[in-house]
Amino acid sequence: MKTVFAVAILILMAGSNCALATNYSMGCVEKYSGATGFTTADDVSLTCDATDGFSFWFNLFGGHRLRFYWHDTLVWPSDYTEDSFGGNDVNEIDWSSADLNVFSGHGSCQNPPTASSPDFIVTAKNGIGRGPNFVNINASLRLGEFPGSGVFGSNGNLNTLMINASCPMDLVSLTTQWWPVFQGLHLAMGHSGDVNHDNLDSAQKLPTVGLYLGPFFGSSYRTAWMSAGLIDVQSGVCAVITATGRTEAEAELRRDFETPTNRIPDALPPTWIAWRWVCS
Amino acid sequence: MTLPSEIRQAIRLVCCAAALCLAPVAQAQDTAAEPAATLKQRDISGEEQGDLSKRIRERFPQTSGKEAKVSAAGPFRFAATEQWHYMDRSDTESVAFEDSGYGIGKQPLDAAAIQQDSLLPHLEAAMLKAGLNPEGKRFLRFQDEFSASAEPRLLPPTFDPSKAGTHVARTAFYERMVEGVPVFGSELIVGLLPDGSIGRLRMHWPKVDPQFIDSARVLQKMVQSDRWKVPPSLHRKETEILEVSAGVGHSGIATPGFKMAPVVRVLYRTQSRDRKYPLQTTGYKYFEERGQEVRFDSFPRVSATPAARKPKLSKAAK
Repeated sequence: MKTVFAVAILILMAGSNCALATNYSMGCVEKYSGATGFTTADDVSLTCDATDGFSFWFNLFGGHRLRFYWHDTLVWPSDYTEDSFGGNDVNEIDWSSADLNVFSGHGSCQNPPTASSPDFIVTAKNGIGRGPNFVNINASLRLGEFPGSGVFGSNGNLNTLMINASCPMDLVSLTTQWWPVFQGLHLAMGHSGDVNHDNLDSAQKLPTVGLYLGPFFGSSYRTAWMSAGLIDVQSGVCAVITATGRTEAEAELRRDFETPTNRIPDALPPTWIAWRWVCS
Repeated sequence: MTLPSEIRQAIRLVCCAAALCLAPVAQAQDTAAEPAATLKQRDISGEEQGDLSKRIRERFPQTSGKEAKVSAAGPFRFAATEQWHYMDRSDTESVAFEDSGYGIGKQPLDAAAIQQDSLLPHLEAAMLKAGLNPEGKRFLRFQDEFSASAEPRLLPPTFDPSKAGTHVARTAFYERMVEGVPVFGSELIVGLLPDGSIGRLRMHWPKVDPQFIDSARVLQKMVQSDRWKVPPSLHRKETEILEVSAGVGHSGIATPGFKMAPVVRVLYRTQSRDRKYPLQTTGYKYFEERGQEVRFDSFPRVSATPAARKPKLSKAAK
């Protein structure tokens, strides 16, 4: 095992983009009721505490750059939606120097999900109603399309998407719902569950992930999400991390060893998807 | 009529003492040694560094031989190499460790070796060897980790990603119970490498003041006899109360300060009535005896980006 690890590190270091800092952005929604179509029954309590705590550890000494941190009704569906689909991700989470985006808010669960069940994140833009704020991940997100991809433009650069919500990455539909999203995106992580097996509203999970990824502990995304992703979840929930690459080895290398500051350079088109999950 | 000042003072003291004795539930205590806002990177003395290195080597023998990068901020101490990552906190005696090779194997775990009956004694022995013997731990379940990869264009429509994985790690998850009182916020997860050494550990198991245990018992009786009521803030037609339990609660491992208190924990689920676009929130809240909410985890606020900086949408954009 140590040999596998050593080889992986060597490969990663040989071809990696070592950066001292990352550009990250965050969006959190607690007060959905500020947007038309939602009521106070939709509000949550700790999703912004969670991102505050994540950022506290992740950027403890200001070494990273927080570009945008939208709260509540400033978290819009267009922030996540591919610009060639009519969204504005090019100026938001998928801007040209984007490294990491963290979303913390509602997802939407099926009971149970099937292979064709869509995954969602739920934003809170005022004035457009409830339905348009349900962002269908498969239909709307195309991330990381840097110059050369050509399919959805060449203006995105997001490397990592982290979602703290209910059921945004259901395992059963992972390869159908998430595969098209990876247009250069390296990694995405979220939770799999259903109505009765939920990711809890928590101010401990994301801060612990931030502690693991921060400047001191310095772990990979895989270690952080697999170790701390099950804090405050109900039994039956899984923490899931997914990556893509041109080869199986590249996809696995990204999934298992990328860190915020040590990434394999972009190279399209990906043909392999690698995923890993841990269940409570 | 006026009383001499000595008598007034004595009366005040007696009243205060009586109030303390009569209070059935101990009050929350902040034991934060380092408020979040002042958590600063600090130097580690040679002596402290030696102590830290010795502690890591004793607990995790595989760490010997490589120079680690060591750092500290307030009570948090860190050491890391490319192979492993370590953290402890001096105020709560918490520790986290991860060997980067944990769960990386390509072969599935040996099914016989990971049966509960055989694995738990090995985990127990590994923890004891590492000098970790948390009192009141109770095995709850395993966290099973799987990995998989595929070429999506070759997958059949019936492919189920949840059934395609290799079982690569099994981590035991324990809850904490002290004399019949649950301790909320304590966590212990531990998993072994194939050679039997600890590959993943997170132990946040702060000492519990016995007075809090006594007070939590009072709360348990109040809950059992229905003398403790779920506060009005959770009385909503959309909210279902899933569980009410009394115990001692405390801050999480990543919370910069530390707070502990006897509390009632209410697990709830709120579901919107919208049929087409349903949403639900599942969470728990902590309350003290009188129904005041207690929050254990707080972080310095990060300023939200002002609305004026929101990028303009094109006309075509939604």
